[in-house]
Amino acid sequence: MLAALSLLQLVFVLALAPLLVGVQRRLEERFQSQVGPSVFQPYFDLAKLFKKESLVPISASPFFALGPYITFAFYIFLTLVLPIITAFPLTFGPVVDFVGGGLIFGAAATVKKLAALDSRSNYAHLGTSRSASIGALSEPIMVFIFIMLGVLSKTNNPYVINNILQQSSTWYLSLLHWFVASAFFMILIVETGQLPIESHSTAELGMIDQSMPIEYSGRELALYNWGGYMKQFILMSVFLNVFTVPFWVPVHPGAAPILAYLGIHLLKLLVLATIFALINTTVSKYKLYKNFDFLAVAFSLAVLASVALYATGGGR
Amino acid sequence: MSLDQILGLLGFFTIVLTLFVQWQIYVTRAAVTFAISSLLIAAALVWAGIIEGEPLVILLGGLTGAVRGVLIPLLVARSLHVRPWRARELRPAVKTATSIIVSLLLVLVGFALHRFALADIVPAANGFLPFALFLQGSFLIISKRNAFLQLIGYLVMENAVLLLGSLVFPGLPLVIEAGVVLDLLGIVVVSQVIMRMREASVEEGAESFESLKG
Repeated sequence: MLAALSLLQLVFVLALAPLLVGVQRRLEERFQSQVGPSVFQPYFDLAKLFKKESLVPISASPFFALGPYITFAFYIFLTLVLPIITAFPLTFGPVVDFVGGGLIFGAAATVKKLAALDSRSNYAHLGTSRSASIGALSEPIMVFIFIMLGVLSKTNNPYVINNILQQSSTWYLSLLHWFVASAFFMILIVETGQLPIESHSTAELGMIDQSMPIEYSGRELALYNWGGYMKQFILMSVFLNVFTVPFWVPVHPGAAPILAYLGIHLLKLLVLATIFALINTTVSKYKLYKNFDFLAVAFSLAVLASVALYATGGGR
Repeated sequence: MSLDQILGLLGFFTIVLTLFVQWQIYVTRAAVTFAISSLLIAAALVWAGIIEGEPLVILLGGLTGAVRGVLIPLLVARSLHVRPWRARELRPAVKTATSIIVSLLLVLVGFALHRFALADIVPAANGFLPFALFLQGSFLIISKRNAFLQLIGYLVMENAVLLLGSLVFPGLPLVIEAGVVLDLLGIVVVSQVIMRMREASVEEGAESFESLKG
């Protein structure tokens, strides 16, 4: 049963991650009174890239071509261990805790950066240095957020945190929880490359993550992009299931509630994608150095969560 | 919800909004953020007045909302219309990201100050909030060169005093109402004095572009 559910979760994420990105892009265009590409455009792009020839820079080492496969494997692993369609651990659930999950996200980012450096392209180097300087500040904030959630639940287990927030309205309404949730929302914007941190364009002045895979082509680029879609899907799911809307996630195994929840989860994601699309159409991009002000505010919110815990006694 | 909890929520919200003011370089946005926090305080006062059945507190809430939530931001906006070069902070004395972190550290200092030195005088669990807010307001004044942002810093300090008054004397006596009147004094007298002093001491905005004139 658990193994079958794990497989279902994996297929769910693999199959629908590109759709989520497609829907968000379509919504952004609609908000600007334009027609926009089909919501299935990311699938068409992936299909096209899988058929194309792969080119590798002559100066790159074999690691360059391996990079997208490794990161894609990391994202598959994360799909199997995080609460996406169930609030009880699946087969691989006990393998890592929240901090472990954060470390694997970090490992995937590191592999991406190393491979980008290996491509010996100036643009990839530019993106890597920007991404590294922002990540050096955003990742510790993320770990701090996880520690504060650990204080809330006395564990590092995302499933336990989900169950506590589902059951205890005191914790759900506590200042600690909402400070942590808002800090994570800001980090989510950084990690998924939304405005005001990063625009979808390939303008050199603002490129962060877009410039890192600039030397990839063919199947490697397809896997790189697909991994990116999965990362966005997983982080948005974690934000919804663990941080803000822990409700309706099935706590006990059972085919009917889980199948029903698949639809509910898509609706939750649609609401979040709409919020992102609204932000992306109304907010203008920051200059690169202004991103650090944004991170400073996210850090402040995370620290205020701990102050709120000690001042008010949290949910007790 | 008890009055204590309302004040706690309000205090945390005001602290976050003050961090946001610290983040902004445009005066209009800072003024709007300050107006929101003032209106929230006013709403809480009105609510507290209704719960406790005190018409004076309701009146105080109304006054706070009208003066700090509407009148002062409108005056700032009008003033900006006359002096458009003051619409943004040109060179903050402390870099924005650093100033946000310092403002946050001051909240922690306020917390420690209350926990270790002032807990006997202000026994409420949320008692550190006014002290933290007061420090944040004074840092806002230090860290910015724009006179309007400094004025907002001064008003944040006043909000802190109002909050402290509400925490220490839950009956909200007339002393606090005097604070609202002081606001009017603040906007008229103190801002004028600050502006004059600044005009005399710091050259800013348009003057530095004089040399670009053909």
